[in-house]
Amino acid sequence: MDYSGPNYIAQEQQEEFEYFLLGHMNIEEEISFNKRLEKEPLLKRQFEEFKTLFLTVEEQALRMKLDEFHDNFE
Amino acid sequence: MQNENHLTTAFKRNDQKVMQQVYQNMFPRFRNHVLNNSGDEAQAKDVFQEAFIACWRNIKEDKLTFNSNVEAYLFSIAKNKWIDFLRSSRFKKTVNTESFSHLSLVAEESDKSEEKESQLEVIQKALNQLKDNCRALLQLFYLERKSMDEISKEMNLTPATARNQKYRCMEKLRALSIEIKKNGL
Repeated sequence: MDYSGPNYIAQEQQEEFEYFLLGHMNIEEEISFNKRLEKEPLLKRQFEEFKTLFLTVEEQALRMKLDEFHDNFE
Repeated sequence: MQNENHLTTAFKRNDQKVMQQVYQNMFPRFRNHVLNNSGDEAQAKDVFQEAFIACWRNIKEDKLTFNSNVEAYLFSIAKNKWIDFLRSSRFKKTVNTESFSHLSLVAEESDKSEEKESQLEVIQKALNQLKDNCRALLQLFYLERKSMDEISKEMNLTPATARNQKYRCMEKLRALSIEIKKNGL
């Protein structure tokens, strides 16, 4: 992972990233968020870093869930 | 058979019920395939779960062409992974794989670079080092897509505490990942 810097992002920034990644933004919000990513390299790095963490957490959680699916029908 | 558009949308939303249904529809069929092709139950489970993850990821990344059948897609990925398994060195020691060459190959979307793989391992290791309540909270929010209100009730926290904990858990996950990367796996 390309770490964006020594400090972690602010809580509000994390929540904005989550809001985007969870697909909660409406189309206008999405367009303006993408514009900001284009214009702000630091924000872009922070977002890519957070996205990697987010996707990995989600995937690992699904792995656990698959074991539950499996056990539930055996 | 459910509407395919509905299935891909459900996978994108991590809909637990739909994913469980697809899992339970398709696993017995794949298990038969593996049992008929020199495998056992445990191998079938491992390979099927890897295939399920790949299928889910590809759907999220819009790699599944419009109107494709999700269950057929999952099954083709799983069959490919089974062929890979049969061809792997571990298996070659015991069985001649030539006899499986008639199994048709279906192209699978897989473009994970090595760097991406090791990054994944680093974060997975960091996740394992997180406290149980952190993992539980992150699972409810990122996978199950529950609201912070629901999560705070489920975990017996005030909404403000749950919100704060989620932030701290991700901060911790990042710090652990950086540490692990620095010190090597």
